[in-house]
Amino acid sequence: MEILASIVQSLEEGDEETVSELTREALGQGLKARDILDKGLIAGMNAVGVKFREHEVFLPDVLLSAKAMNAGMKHLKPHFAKEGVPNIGKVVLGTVHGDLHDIGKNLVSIMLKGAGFDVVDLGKDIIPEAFVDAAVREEAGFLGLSALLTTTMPVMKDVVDLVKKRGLSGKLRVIVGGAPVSEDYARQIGADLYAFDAASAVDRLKAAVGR
Amino acid sequence: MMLEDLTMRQILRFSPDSVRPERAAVLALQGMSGDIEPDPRLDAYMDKALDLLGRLCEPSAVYQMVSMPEFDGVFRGSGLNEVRTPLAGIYPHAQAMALFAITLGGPVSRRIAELFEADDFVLGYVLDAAASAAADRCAEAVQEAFGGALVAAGRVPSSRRTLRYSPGYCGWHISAQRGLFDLLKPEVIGVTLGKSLLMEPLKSVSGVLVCGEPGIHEFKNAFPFCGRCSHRTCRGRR
Repeated sequence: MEILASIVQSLEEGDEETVSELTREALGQGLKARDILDKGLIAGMNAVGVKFREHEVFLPDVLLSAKAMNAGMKHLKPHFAKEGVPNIGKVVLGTVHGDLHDIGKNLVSIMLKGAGFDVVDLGKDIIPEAFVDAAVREEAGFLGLSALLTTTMPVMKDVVDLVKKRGLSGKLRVIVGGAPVSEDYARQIGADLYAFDAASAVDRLKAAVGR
Repeated sequence: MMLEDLTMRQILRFSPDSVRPERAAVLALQGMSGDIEPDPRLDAYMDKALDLLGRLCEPSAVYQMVSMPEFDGVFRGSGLNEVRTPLAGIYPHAQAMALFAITLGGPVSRRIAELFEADDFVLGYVLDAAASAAADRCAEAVQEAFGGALVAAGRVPSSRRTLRYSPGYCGWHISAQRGLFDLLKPEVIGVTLGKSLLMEPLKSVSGVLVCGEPGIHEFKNAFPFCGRCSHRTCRGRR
């Protein structure tokens, strides 16, 4: 499909207008919305993710591509209206209680959406109960916790403990990240996964869902 | 340190232009440094972000001199500092010290949040980086103001060097913020401390200004925590 390859290329270039135009055109040609999503938009974001990891492009370039993806998604969403946008996993995400830093968490959210995850962003200063309640309500497979302060990191353990207490271990996996958080700390508090940055959050979660 | 210095307290208001960051500093915060040419579209976002920053930021600062015993207490905080820290070896040699806080005010942080909420995340991200660079410039401006005031008052020779150090960095535990806020009272410029020791507005910086012989600031960045540190500028500051 030439048009899907063009979508991938335009998305890699972060060309919002062309991605929007090509997505509309692809639908007009009778291509399935699901194929345009998987083989066009998500494939393009995956390619950008690889370039980012290899330091060929920078975070703002990734954000330009994510914006272009959003432009394409606007045309696809009505086609998914009944069954919802297909996704490879659902993640409830937020910055832990006491912490108001949310840029890192926002970037994780943008990149996970680009990789095909359904993301429910709770925002910042979120108490453990609100995290777990939302994850249950949304039937999410993953809970993503972000913290930028050493003083708020212990809240991550409170969330992990609550997940265990409610008998959700295994069903609801917890991924933690943020500047002061390390893989050792993640292990120490019993989190299932650790992400060094937004790109590694995508990698870890994709690996966790077998992609 | 001379006793008559201990009441020295200044509140400073800066113009947005005076803390406007260099484009290179904003790009560096986005991971682009050296000879990397950003995408022309990112240049346009940069222009927009710097324009927004100029309209929204309300930079202000407060500093207040502290005695050695006073700072001893602030530095110790809740007793959670690393066993060895650079600052522990630096401040005992200071000729003058002041606690300080700076802020860019609330509107910039609110605008950044609004941009992300509206999915205008490229501009939000660039504005966040620009605001961080501006906050750093504001901290540098207060550092220069304090150093300059000491020289102008004849309290130290112009060869002395003033540098800033902040709780939460280089093994100085963030719990020192409590003592720092108790003494400095930066609420006067709108900066408050939350239970988690987080300052609001977010684009604020606090710490201690240490003035002394240039050599007192020299240290080998070989402390155990240096290996985990992502800041590469600890010894390259002006």
